[in-house]
Amino acid sequence: MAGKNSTDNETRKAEQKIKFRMLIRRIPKIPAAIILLLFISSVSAQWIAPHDPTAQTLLDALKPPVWLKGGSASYILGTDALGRDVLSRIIYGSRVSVIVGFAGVLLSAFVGTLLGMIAGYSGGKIDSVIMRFTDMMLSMPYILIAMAIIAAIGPSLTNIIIALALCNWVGYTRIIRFESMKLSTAEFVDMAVISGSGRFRNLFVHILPNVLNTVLVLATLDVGKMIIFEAALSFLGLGVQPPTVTWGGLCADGRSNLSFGWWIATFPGIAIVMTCLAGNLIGDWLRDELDPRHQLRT
Amino acid sequence: MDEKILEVKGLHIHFSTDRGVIRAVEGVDFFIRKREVLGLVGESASGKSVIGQALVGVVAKPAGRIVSGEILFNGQDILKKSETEVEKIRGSEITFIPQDPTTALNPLLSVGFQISEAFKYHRTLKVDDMAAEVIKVMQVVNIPSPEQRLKDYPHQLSGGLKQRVIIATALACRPDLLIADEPTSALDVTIQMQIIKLIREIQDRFHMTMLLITHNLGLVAKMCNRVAVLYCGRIVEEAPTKELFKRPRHPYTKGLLASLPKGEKGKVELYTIPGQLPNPLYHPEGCHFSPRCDLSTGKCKEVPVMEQAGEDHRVRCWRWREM
Amino acid sequence: MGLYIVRRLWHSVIVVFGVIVITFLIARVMGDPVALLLPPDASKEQRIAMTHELGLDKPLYVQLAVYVGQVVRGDFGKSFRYNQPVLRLVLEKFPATLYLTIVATIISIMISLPLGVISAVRRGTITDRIGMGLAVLGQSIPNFWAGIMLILLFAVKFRLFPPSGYAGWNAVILPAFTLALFFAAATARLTRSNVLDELDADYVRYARLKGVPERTVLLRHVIRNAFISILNMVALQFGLLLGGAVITEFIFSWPGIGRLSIDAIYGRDFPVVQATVIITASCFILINLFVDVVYMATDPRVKRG
Repeated sequence: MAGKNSTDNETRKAEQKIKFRMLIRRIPKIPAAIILLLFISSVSAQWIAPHDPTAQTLLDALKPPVWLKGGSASYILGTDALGRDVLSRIIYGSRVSVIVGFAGVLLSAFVGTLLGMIAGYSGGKIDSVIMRFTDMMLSMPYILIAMAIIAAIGPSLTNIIIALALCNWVGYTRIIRFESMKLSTAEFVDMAVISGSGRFRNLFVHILPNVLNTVLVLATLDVGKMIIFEAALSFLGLGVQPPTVTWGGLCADGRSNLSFGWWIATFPGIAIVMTCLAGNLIGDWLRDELDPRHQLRT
Repeated sequence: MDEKILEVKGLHIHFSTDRGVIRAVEGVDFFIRKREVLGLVGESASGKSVIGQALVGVVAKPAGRIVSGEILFNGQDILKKSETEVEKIRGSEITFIPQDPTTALNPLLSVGFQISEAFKYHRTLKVDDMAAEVIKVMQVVNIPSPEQRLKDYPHQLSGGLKQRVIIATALACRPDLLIADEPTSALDVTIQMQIIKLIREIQDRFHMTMLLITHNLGLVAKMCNRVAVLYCGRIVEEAPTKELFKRPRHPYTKGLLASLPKGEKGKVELYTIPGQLPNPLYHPEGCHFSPRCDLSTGKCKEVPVMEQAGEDHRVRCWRWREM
Repeated sequence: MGLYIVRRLWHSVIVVFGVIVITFLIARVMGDPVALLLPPDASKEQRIAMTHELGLDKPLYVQLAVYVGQVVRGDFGKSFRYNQPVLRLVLEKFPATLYLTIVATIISIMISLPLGVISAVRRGTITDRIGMGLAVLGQSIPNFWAGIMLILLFAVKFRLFPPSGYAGWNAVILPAFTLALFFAAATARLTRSNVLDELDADYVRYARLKGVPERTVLLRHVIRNAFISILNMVALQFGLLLGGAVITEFIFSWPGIGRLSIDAIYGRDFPVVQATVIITASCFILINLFVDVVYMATDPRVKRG
């Protein structure tokens, strides 16, 4: 009997590996490439950026991008009011975006999913409490809360990640709760309870694997949101402080130079839009792929 | 012989999906004479519901396509008509009774209003006359106290009453052809009997021409003059009801009839046709039924043609004579 | 139904209470008001006196109770910066935000609803793809950058609209569009999804089978049934916009609550911060409650059942 079980498991694992590879092959190419580009630039910023992002050369201040009159090939996207190369700053800025984006998503997903599973599975008073709590968080304007938290504990990288996660976990809880509720009435969970496994063990062994798909989709869609959120905080001056470069900070710099340096604010914004767009497209694709009704659609 | 109200010739309907093309209907021909009740029998994925949809022009686009064929209604090919022309026919000359009365009724609109929709667009009536007409048609289907029911909402009605409302809607314009798609499957067994009785009364009274789509052979025995048996998109046998039940010529029909529960008290035998329905994406080559058929041979890799097995009795099998 | 309303009301009260507690706690963490109010060279006695005067030497839960009691009576304290009752400040600025939010909601509805409906009805066609492509793009554009770009294009380059401030009828256009952008995109997608669900409904197919013309089917069966969820969305959106106007007001120097609250955070003026959060949250909760009640009232399944 043991032998039979292990071959079953083996074939199942092999099948899953094949399905996974086929899935990766179907990923939408351009958005995936953009995300890859994002990763590469954040990891290898010091090697691919043409200039030091904080080097100020006042002689070269406010140079336009290379394709306009007055532009130069050494500053492809132009320079800002202090002569810093915009392209290099964008490349370096990707680091903060990547870190905060992904760490923030991971933390929010973790907290939100945990609370959602507990709420959906337990029901009753625990569920009510968690639900009221999510209602509270939902009704408060998240920007203000994040700003207040950061103003309180200081704008370090970790603090920002924590603040963002604190404001964002709600999005997971509602949906995961709903799924957990459906699952907790499923037969196989009842069987597990009858056979004596503890309640918490149940949660992780039975419910978690089945909600992971949803969590994955939500998390992918959340990455863009987090990056924008972080950029907004940086824009308002409450993100990671200079000299660390952030995309939001770049936009803020650009804002005071709109008349004579439109490129300073424009290009960082385009970077944000493209990253967020890529994330959203991949998230949507993933959602469609993992939809159990996928088989029958045109 | 009575004239043919409906004639379907060479109908092919395909559905495109991510995984390939489903040939739901493959070359179906049949006709219905005036005042006749034809039963279209088949299991799921036989294509019977799709045919019903095609007759009223509601095959789900863009996935579903009528690839070829003609549907002659009163002599005219409705597949060639414009959407506006079809809209005029639909609901007045050809009406449809769907399977589930609960989901077929809009929960936010009153029952009376939804019945009136049936003739609103086909007859010109003044508002006051409209209510009277609705009441009249509700009485035909034996809905008690129709005047009160007019303003009720669907959720206030039982399953049986809802189905009566649906039937009333279908009869409102005295259609030439009534198509019923599994009219009793969604109902409780006790209610089923009532509805069947009702449909028979209506048939006796109005001599309607009907197409009854069902998987329930018992229903067919009670209601239909003729039966066409469908398997995986093709008609495999067609005959008057009594003849089909007494002398089935196709192995599949035989299997179906054998599957009807029978046996004396205490000893009910259940026969099932061996094998499973094929995946709709991959119909077997040649005769679709051959993988499950006792009599299949090499010849069955060729699609069997429809042959006459008696007066008014057609069979699509190479070996029907040997049974 | 009465029971449901009572239960919802009770939930709303709990939530509002929770919001008050949370804002209180956050504000307390934000910094020491005494240090902010007194000049840096104030003496120790002055600090102790001020602490006592503000009631900050009492235990935390007492302070909380006092605060809740005050809030319930409408007393949000005094602003540290302006030395005025906070409630008055907030009420002064509220109309500007309301104005902006209403215009933004109208713009958002005018764009997103038709976009969503048309995309749903023409599912799978180029129209659908373009529509939804625009929607995804809209959701990927950061609020603040959109505002800056709009200012760049329409105020700096083309001088059509003022880049900031409240003056003139056209001052609201740029900020309203900025505010509307993301929500229009999200609403367009949700509308499409809701309408698609309706289009697939059995009773829609059945109405067609009765011979009801397509356009009437759309209006009477599809949109009417989708209407409630759409209304729900619009109301939610309105509530969210009320609170989300923070960045937009900042960029356009719009004299509303959002601007007030950002200035308050920078200036550690937390009575104001608390008040704006509590008031905005309460508006949101109220709007949700209202929508739920309307929903219950218009669904015939509930009215009689």
